[in-house]
Amino acid sequence: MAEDRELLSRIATGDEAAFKRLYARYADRVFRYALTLLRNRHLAEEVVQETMVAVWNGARTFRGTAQVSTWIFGIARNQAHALRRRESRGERVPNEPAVLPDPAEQVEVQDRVLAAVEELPPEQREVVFLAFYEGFSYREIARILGVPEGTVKSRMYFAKRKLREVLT
Amino acid sequence: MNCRKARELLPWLATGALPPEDQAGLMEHLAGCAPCRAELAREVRLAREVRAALEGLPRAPEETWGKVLARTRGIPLGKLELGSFLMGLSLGLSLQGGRVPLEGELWLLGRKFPLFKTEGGA
Repeated sequence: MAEDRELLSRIATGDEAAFKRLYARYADRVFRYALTLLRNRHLAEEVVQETMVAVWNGARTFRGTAQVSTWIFGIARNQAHALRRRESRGERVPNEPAVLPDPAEQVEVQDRVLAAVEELPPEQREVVFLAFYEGFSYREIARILGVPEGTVKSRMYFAKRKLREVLT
Repeated sequence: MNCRKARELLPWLATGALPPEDQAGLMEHLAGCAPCRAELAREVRLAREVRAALEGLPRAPEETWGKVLARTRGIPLGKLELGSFLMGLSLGLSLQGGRVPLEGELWLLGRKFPLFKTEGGA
């Protein structure tokens, strides 16, 4: 998006107002993406922090060959995986169960869909998030994940099959 | 295009994110294939339901912006300001993750314009 590029070029000059605006556009999206990957609010918040600090520090290195959103979600994914590796080495103790919104606040169908998404393997869950929530093409998702386009399509195929089993 | 290939692409048609080069072939297939058209209707419904459900996920905590700002601004070490409200120049040193960058700003009628920022070493 042209506005994202404009904001990023201003951030590269140290423009804090532009940074705040870009943060407002991406914080919730990155948080929800990280939540989908890690299922832990504290870790998801860390991902938002690390991603946005990386955006601030790396704005000058953005080459412009991809969309800004693809670049930001790629950073978020790397940060989420780094945190997950740290968790698995036992450097932190996860103390939160999988995050689901308060059932009382959700309509029944949304609960069922969200529970079904939560049940998917992580690599399928993130494809579902990036395609259905973020609206990325399979090409953009392949770029964010660093996998072939065919892998994205096949993850989506199996994810949908599982979702339908649960939802129908 | 056969049904298998068409169905691989349907999720992205359903979300409006199908690359342009795939569109003509898929549309041609859909025009002559009723089962794939029915599948597209199911895809659209599934995409809508999943999106609505993910919208229900919590938002980033309010305080996160403050934490990000604290980390990007760093810890101020010193600032030199010259000039007046109308026009001035400021030079600031801060500690940011082991680096000590120097930032220069121009002030003009109360507005701040970044001039430069050095890397500050590793």
